[in-house]
This record gives sequence, C-alpha cells and structure tokens, in this order.
Amino acid sequence: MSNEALDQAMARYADGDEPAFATIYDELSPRLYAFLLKQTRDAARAEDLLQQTFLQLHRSRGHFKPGSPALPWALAIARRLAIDASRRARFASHDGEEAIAEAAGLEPLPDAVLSARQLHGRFQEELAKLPESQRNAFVMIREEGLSTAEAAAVLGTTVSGVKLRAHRAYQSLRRALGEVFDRPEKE
Amino acid sequence: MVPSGDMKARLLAAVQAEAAPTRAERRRAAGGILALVVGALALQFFGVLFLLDKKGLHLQPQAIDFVVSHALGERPVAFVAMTSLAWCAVIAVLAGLVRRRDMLGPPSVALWTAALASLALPFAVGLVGNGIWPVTAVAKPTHPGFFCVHLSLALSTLPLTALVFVRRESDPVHPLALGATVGALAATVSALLVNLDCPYADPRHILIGHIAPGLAQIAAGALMGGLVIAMRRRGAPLPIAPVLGGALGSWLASLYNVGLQKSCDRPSGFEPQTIIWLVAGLLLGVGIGFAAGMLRARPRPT
Repeated sequence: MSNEALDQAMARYADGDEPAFATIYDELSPRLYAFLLKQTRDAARAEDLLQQTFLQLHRSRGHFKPGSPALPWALAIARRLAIDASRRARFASHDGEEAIAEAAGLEPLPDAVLSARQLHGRFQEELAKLPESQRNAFVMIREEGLSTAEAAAVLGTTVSGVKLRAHRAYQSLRRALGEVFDRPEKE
Repeated sequence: MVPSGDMKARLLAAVQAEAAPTRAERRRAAGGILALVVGALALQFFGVLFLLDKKGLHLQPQAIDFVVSHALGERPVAFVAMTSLAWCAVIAVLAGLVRRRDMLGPPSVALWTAALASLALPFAVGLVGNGIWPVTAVAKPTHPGFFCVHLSLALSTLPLTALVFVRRESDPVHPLALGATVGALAATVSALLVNLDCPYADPRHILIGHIAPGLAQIAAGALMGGLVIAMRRRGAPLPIAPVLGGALGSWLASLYNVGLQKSCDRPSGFEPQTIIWLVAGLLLGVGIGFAAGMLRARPRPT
C-alpha cells in the first residue's frame, strides 16, 4: 500500500470509519516496529511501545487533519513514547542483534549470509552509539524513507538542522565502519 | 520484522473498547468550548468597562460616551486603531500556528520566535505611535500599570486554559513550544482588549501593564503545554484537574483584584495584597484540583 492510501485510511478512521483501523495497522505496524526496535533494542519493549503508539493514534484520531501524511505523525508519536519510556525505566541496552534476529525469526544461516548479518549487527551497534538526535535523523531519512521536511517535522527541528544531523551520523558511521569496508579481501 | 501475530487482534479489541472522539465530535466540542470562552470574555470585558468604577460595582451601567472618552484618554483614535491592528495581525498569525495546517506543525524554534515576537512587534508599533503622537508618550507616574496587569491576567486566563484543554494530548513533538504559542495567543487577545480599554500608552506603562503579563502567560502556556498538550504513555495520569483548578483559582483572584484596584483610592498603585490574592487563588485552585483528581482516581470498593 502506498503512503497516500495510508493517509486516506487514516482520514477515514478519523471520520469514524472503524474498519479502517485494520488497514492502518497492516501498513504501519512493520515500519513502526522496526523503528521502535532500533530505539529500544528490545523486542518486548518495542511491542509494548507499538501497542501504545496505536492506542495513542486511536485516542488522537480526532486531531488528524485530512491531507496530512500519517506516517511522520505516527513516527513522531512512537518516538515520543520511546523517549518517555526510556526516561522512566532507564533500561539497559540489550543485545540488539539478538533481538532483531529473534524478531525476524531467522534460522541458522550459511557463511555469506552470516557475514552479512554480522556486518548488519556491527552497523546496528555503531548506529546505537550515535547521539539520539543524529540516529533519529539518519533512521528516518535513510531507513524510513521520509523526506528531509517530514523528518524535520517529526524531530521538531528545521530542514537544515535535520540535514546536518543526518550528515554527521553518516560521517560517524562511515568512520566507524570504514575499516570493515576497507579491509583487503582474503586471497 | 513484524510484531507478534495476536497483537492485531488485541489492538482491535482495545480500540473497540475505548471510545475516541472522531474529527467531527472533537470539532463540535472545541467549538462549543471556544464559544463559551468568547462569551465569557465579552461579559468580563464589557463588565469592566460599563459596571466598574472607583466606587466599585455599579448596577446602573455607565453611559457609552463616558466609557469611550475614558477609554481613549489622550490617545488619538488613529493611535488606538494602529496599535489595535498590530495586535490583530499578531493574533491572526498565532491562531494559524496553533491551528496548524498539518499534524506536526513548524519547528520549535519557529514557535518560540513567534511567541516572543508576538509581544515585541505591537510594542514596537506602539513606540512608532508614541513618536507620531508625542502626547501618548507622556508617562503618568500615578498609573504605572498594575491595574492593567490584573486585567490582562483576568482576560487571558480563560482563553489560555480553554485552548490548552482543546489541544490536550495532541502534540508528540514540541508541546512546550506549542504551549508557549497558545500562551502568546491568549496574551495577545487580552492585550488587544486591554489596549481598547486603557487610556495610557507611555512605553513604561505598556511594558509593565501590557507586555509583562504576556510574558507570564507565555511561561504559563509552556508549563501547561508540557503537562497537558504533551502526548503521554497510556495510563499515565493527565494532570488536568490541578491545571484547571489552578487556572480557575488565579482567574477568580485576578477578577477580584481588578475590582479591588478599580474601587480603591489608589486605582493603579502597587497593592501587595493583590499579589497575595493571586498566589493564594492559584495555590488553592491547584490544591482543590489535585484533591478532586485524587478522589476521582481512587478505586471504588466493589
């Protein structure tokens, strides 16, 4: 489903069309879950926050303005709830790679795929080390596919501000992961 | 990456169990609340103009020509029109920012800038007016502006509280900045009304009587934004009762102060008891609201 169809489903739901909620859930849940998993690095917490995000979307549906994009709004709610939760619980970071693999339900893999998974895990580790503002900007633009204007609105900053944060995140990741890519291949 | 399979069913059951207002219902409720506030503001404003004088509350309304000439003072009509237009322009911009065209609105820095500039711009227009009509710039030491402080607070508290209530739990990004903008909107609405009523226009009086209460309302708006406009975790209590109680208490105290100041011998002098009334009203309201919230939240025996 395209974002436009999602926006229309959200507009219908805001006007009282109850069955539209299932459509919204189907479209939003994988993206919100992936985003929350990156924020929390814990599958159970991500599920809890996902549930709260949808309930908040439901409670705030009367505020939705038809024609507005629903995805950035949903991401903003998810981000706010994740920040609140981390402030409350101050939970320790769990092993994100395990959580992601567990959530994905992956089986033991051949060497090439394992190597890709290790690289992915290393990337996630480096991403988690970034300051929250840079990480969010990077995730929203590079992984969620939001425009810089949408990401800026979600993060409550300016377009140039979000570009700068994403650029800094990109540079940090490149510095940290450069050794992996620059490593000469084995003969 | 997908969440567990039964979550969809659980969520569908949860949203069916929890009623949430639709757009039309929310708009009707917000329209009703704002209409009530506009009515209350009009009653307050015309009550102060027509029913209050130095002898206190009058049951016989004062004549319109007396009220108009008293409100104008030495200010030319063009000066009043120019400054009122400046306040109206700022109100229009702030109302647009609070209403928003999309779900997330402009960045925080834009909201804070608009909130603070909303008071600076009309003040600058007033200074230009002082330059054009020097008679308006002559300071009146007997009227430093304390009456206008109380009138501003009395006129802005209801719209601030109503707007914060209408926007409750709606901003996931920058509730403090939106609250400050709401505070600025309420402050500018009251500043427009005070500008129509107050015959004094020297910069010192304007700063003390018309701008300073606006800054206080911006700060109060930011505080209420963080408490009420912010989206929060499900189950986390919304401190709506203490906020409403505090607003109601300070509003009643401001109204009392307006009457007290206008009916006492020194109508615009600094009266320490008015500050005491204001703080007492605020604290009493917060306390009653807090207690009411606690009683409501207490589980009932089955």
